[in-house]
Amino acid sequence: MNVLGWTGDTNVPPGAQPFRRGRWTALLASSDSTKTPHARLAIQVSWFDTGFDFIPVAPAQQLTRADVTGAACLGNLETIWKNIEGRGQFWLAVRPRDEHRSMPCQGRAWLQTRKARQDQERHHKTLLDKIVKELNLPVNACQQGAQRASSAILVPRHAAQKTRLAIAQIAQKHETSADVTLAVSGLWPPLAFTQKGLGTA
Amino acid sequence: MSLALEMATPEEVMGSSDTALVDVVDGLLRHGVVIRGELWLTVADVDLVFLGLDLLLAAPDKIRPEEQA
Repeated sequence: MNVLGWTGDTNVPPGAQPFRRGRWTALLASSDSTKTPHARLAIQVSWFDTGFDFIPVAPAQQLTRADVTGAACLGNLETIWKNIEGRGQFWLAVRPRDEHRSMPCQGRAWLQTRKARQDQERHHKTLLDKIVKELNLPVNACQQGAQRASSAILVPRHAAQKTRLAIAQIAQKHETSADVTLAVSGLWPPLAFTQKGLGTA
Repeated sequence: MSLALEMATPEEVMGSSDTALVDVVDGLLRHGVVIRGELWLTVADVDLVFLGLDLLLAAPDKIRPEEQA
């Protein structure tokens, strides 16, 4: 059995096995169905989509019941829970419409392309920072690289549709070159806002 | 021209082979860390040699194809 999250609720989502640790319950799923990080994320998304609120463990971590028996993170759960209860995350990325991943082979052209990409990434980050600031929601640190800038914003579940509309309005308002796209996905479980302090003993 | 917008649900992202969307899942799964470095060898203010390095640092099970993980 692998641990996919924590809840302070006594109810657990369909398919989850509860494991009580004081006021908190670890949510376990069978090892067969949680072999890969992708499979663990898919189960977390399915639980989240039922409307169930929980603190998701990073899917890249494969935590067993034994790992959390002596977990030192329980004290942090309360703080994390206060921040994310009733919320999910949207992932926002500003990137070129057509991504050209290959680089030229010649040295000078390679350097020029690299410099152009760095300038483009800086421009994308500036644009994303402006968009996120206008949304005025909690945000994690912006990730920059691979021709894009991305961030996650924390959104109350009930405001998901309103936030989608707000993002669409902001995108319409921003004048930019034809080459730039704002990619938005969600609503995801609030993974980007739960990992700090969620280590195990 | 206004900013082009693409919206996707988690289900669309997870079922997609579009590289842009796959990057979302990679980000959520925290596949690893990319370390970037660059070194310029300069003599008398003349740039002679440039060394650029992009290094992906991740656990093997995070970067193997899923069926092998």
